[in-house]
Amino acid sequence: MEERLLVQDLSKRYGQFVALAPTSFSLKAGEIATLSGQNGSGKTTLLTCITKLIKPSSGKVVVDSFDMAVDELEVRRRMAFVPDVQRFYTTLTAWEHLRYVAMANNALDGFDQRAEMLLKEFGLWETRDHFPHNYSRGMQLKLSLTLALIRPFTVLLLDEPTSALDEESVSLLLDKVLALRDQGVSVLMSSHNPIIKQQFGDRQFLVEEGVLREV
Amino acid sequence: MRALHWIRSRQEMEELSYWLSLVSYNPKDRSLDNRIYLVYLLVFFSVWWFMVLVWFAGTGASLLALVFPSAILPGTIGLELIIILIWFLTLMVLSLLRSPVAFSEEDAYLVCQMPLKPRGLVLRWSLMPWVRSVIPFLILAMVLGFSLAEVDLARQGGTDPDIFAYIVRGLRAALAMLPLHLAAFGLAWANGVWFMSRQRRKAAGIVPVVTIGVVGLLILSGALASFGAGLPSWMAAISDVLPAVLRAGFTEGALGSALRIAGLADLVVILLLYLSAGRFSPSQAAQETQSQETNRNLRRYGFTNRGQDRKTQKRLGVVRRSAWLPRWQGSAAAIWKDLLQSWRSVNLSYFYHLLIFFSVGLGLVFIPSLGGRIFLILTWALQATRFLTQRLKEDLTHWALLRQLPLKPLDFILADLAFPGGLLLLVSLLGMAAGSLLGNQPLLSAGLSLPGMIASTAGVSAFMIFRYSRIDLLLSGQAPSINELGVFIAAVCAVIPVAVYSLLPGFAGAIGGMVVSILIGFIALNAAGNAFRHID
Repeated sequence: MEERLLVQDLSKRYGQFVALAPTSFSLKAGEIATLSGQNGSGKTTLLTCITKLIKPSSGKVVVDSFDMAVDELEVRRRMAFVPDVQRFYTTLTAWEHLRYVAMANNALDGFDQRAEMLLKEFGLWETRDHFPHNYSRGMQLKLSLTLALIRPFTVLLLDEPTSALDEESVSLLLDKVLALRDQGVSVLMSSHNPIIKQQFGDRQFLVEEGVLREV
Repeated sequence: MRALHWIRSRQEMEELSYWLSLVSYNPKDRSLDNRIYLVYLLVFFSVWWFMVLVWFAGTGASLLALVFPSAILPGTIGLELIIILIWFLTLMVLSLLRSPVAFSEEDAYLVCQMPLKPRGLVLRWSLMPWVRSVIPFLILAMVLGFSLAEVDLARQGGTDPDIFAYIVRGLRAALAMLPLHLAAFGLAWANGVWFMSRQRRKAAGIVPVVTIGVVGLLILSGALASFGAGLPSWMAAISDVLPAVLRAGFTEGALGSALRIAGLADLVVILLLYLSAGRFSPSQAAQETQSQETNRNLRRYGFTNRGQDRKTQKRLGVVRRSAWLPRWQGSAAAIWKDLLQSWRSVNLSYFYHLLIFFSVGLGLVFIPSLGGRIFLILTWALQATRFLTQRLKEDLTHWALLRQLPLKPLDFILADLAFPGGLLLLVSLLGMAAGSLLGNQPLLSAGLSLPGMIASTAGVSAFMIFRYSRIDLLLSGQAPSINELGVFIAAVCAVIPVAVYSLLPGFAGAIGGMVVSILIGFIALNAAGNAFRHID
């Protein structure tokens, strides 16, 4: 299988404090990996460094042979990330958020059908014209997931996506992730959910005090 | 009640600390240095305020003599009463619409859950708002007192004033204002609390209506009588009640007895407030006021964007159906988003900015001297830097969303600046066209340089914002505003082309200004793109 995501010596330091020790791993196409660890162990730091939401202190990230340092736009076209807490625009409705992301990703073909399907699946269809700040925490997380899923990608990173979801939504999300695996998408997901940690995915990683190891 | 008093005292102390922090004084610092600094502050600000008020009084005296040439004292009293009337009516309406007793979100969780006696709560919570409300009235009364002293001095032929007597005139006027303000404030609060406790039923509305009628008539009759209007006999009978108190403050009259009578009225009003608060519900008051109180605190502590966001959220409500969904792709998505956001967040300050740009455009053509134009450009830069980067800043606060979009930094910056820049260009050109018509001056030079000037201002502003952005703050929704240095550099960049076309004559100046402006704009925008890549 081809290598979708390659992380090489990725690290993050804040002065003397090592938030993420040099980390290397790779994910093949259609591979699902879970990331667990205590609060503050460095899971979010790893994910945000991979997506370059924060600047890593060292290392490189390669997606589908495109190096983030050289072809950042190509990597961004292929990588979707769902943060644990998403901030939404005050003046845009949920539907407009989806459309904005699709427009910016040149993904308007079939947008209406895809958006309708996703929103219906996540139970947000009836409230698509609502401003997201009126959503509950769980609904905001679902919208965050649909924002990632509305655009094309080959690597999906999820930061504690089940933290505010009800059981039905968790199983829907996991079904979605399995379906994405069948399409060749690689998924890296951090979670505190014991079922996901122990039984879900092809590989399990543990982060302890900034050090990643495979279990 | 002790706990309540303790909480409120801390809040009052925090409020005081906030105001003192503006002059770098920390009330918690007990060192000798700090105490000496306090004495210095007291002396400095007493003198400073006195000078400011005397300066206002000089202008006030001229205005009073102009408006009320034959009866300055009654005219001044009438004016003061009209101001009190307008304020009282506004306060009454606001108190009736929502609880006059305001609670913050913290209060709602803490104070409103405690089994407290509502009467004590209302009285204790009224102190700070009253102090906040009375200060402008005391300043007004002192200015008017000093103004009348200035008038008397002028009448006496400008002899050297007795400074002590001069200060006493202002203080007497303020002292006379104090009980009147307290009575009006207390009545508005008592009515507000009473009406709210009765769930704002129509039948309960009779009490506030009667209060507004009686108090309004009392103040209005006093004002009209002071202006020398003929009044019916029943109105004339009550017309001197309030002017008598104010007159005692402005003249050498019996201030003591006036204050005793007004003080009695205050006691009655405080009793009314106490009685009206028997069924006061703190949780209802919190529901009605916590959002407004939180916004006030956010604004005060510099979180203006968050305060503005909350206001916009409230105004927009829950649902909005999109009417315009174009099929634009790539960085044009940012233009669509900006247009939508701007349309939904238009407010008065937006029009204020546009008015400034129109006026500066007009002035740039109309004012021939370079010095005058530089002054205009400084004003323009101050407004334009903020206007142009409003959306950019907001996008930065949505870092996780923004950073994932596959857009080149420069493309994104240009798209984000396109709408405000275009609007700025259009409004400024309209202003220039108006200036050209009025002054019969050619529009060419200024018009050709304008696009480049906007590009350079936008580029510099964006550069400075990116330069001072920190990712950890952006991820928590906080983007920096443009600082004074940024405004200064933007102004300098905008002045250069203006200087070129002002100093070079004719067509050469116009083309020179345009080329220079475009060059600076190009450099500034590219620097901004580069700074975006390096946000850390």
